[in-house]
Amino acid sequence: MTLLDVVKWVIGLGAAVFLPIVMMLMGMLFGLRPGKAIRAGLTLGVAFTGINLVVGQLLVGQVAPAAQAMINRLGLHLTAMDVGWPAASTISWAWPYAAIMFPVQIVLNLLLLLVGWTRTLNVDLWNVWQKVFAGAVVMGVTGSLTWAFIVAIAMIVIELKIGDITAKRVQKLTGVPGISIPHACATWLLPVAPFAMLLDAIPGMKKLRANPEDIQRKIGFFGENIIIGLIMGLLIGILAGYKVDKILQLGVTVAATMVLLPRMASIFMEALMPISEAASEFMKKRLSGREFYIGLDWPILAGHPSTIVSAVLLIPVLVLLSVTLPGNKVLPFGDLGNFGCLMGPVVAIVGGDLVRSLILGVVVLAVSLWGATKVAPAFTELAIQVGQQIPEGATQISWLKTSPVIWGTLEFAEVNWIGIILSVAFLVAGFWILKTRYSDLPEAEEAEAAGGKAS
Amino acid sequence: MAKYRIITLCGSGIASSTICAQKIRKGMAERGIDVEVKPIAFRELQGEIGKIDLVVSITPGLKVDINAPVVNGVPLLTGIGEQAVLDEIAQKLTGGKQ
Repeated sequence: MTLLDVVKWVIGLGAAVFLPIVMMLMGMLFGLRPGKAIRAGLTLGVAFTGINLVVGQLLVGQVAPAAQAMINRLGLHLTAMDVGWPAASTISWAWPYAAIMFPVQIVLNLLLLLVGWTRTLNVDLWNVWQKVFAGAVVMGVTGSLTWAFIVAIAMIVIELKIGDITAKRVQKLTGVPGISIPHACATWLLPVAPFAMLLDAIPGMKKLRANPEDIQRKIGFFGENIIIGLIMGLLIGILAGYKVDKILQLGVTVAATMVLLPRMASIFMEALMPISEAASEFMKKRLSGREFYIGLDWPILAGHPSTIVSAVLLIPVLVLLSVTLPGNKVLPFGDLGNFGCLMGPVVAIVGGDLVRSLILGVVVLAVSLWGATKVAPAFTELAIQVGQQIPEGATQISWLKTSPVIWGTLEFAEVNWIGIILSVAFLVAGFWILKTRYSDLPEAEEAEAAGGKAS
Repeated sequence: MAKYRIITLCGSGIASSTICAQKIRKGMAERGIDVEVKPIAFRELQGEIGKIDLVVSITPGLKVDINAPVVNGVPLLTGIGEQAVLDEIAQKLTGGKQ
């Protein structure tokens, strides 16, 4: 038996078994004690099993057929269902090469810091999974492991650079010094930046004001997963032409899905935490005495009223877009109430202004729907590979918050010249505009209008 | 039931709030304080029906409309000033009696 045979056998055991083994080894590599490493690995297997249970029984078993019935009855051309990030992250971690992404991100980040190409040390190792997702999807399309890691590396570099560029505005908005947000959600800023510049050029745009705090108080109730789930379930049931009893049952089922998926994902987080803590210590030890921004996960931006309000007010816009946007094939579902992370960076660059956040939010959502449409076949393939059940019939699965960087890469992989040219144009223009216009602090008038920020 | 119930707040109720929750559980256990910690999304705070003794928020600027002390949990994420935050939490829970 060669080493390759052993590896193949372990992967063949299924993600719920090989994930714990791989993560246990990874934990020990970063200096975790064996007892802790075993426990962390096992917890990961438990979380994986739990998420599969919810996805299989509820999402695929009950919600997807209802959504399919609705789509058929209304004659919509939606062929893929957004499973939301808890499920997307689980499927990504089950990619056989997932764990390699930890050392890749850590070593690359340290190197870039040492040569001075970035000022950010990303201690948010939970979102390594976004790079795993990128790599797994690209490998699904190209069949090439090399390309998978090239794309993942490109994602890491782009995230760090955007983190650097937006750091000042992020620090201003949150009132926390010394941080940046090198998160995949900031990559939406590349396609959004040209539009942000256009908006700034419209006379009188900066005078339009809305007070996000008033609105926030009024919509608080509708922002809860359990309520969004209930409303969605009832609506899908009605639109699918179900009888009253079935509609009520679907309402509770969808509410349950929306509440249980994040709870299961939380177990995932608990499992990864000892490993990411050990890795974070590992990085900081090698950088002692140097000045750098500490790169955090996006939620630090989540508290701004404009983020909260736009993420709720844009929910109906997203539903409308999904049926009207030319070329879209994705039914937003899992992350319908959960795209606040995409709005956070937008709110940061417009200095907290709600009106411009909402307008740019439409661009964000259109980009998301197209990106999710693009990634659906490869993502569905990956999910089947790692043993996830897929809705019956023609339905594919996808993920709404697929980074535009992944979308652009897939254009490259398919040698679609129009797509390639547009991707490069947005990449260059986006970076240039962010760097020249949005890397310094907003003007005084903008800062003043920045709603409920800690002042 | 634990003596004190703490809510940690972040954007999704999953990632950052779980990191804070884990660190608080460990930190309070070291200080001999019996706590139960629940991570939730900030938008779910209004719907939280259990009792709340303290809120740890990592979303600066968020006005937490609740009748409980609120502690800034950002240092738990950056790792800078972590112990000071844990001390502050312990102090606010016990009123310095312990």
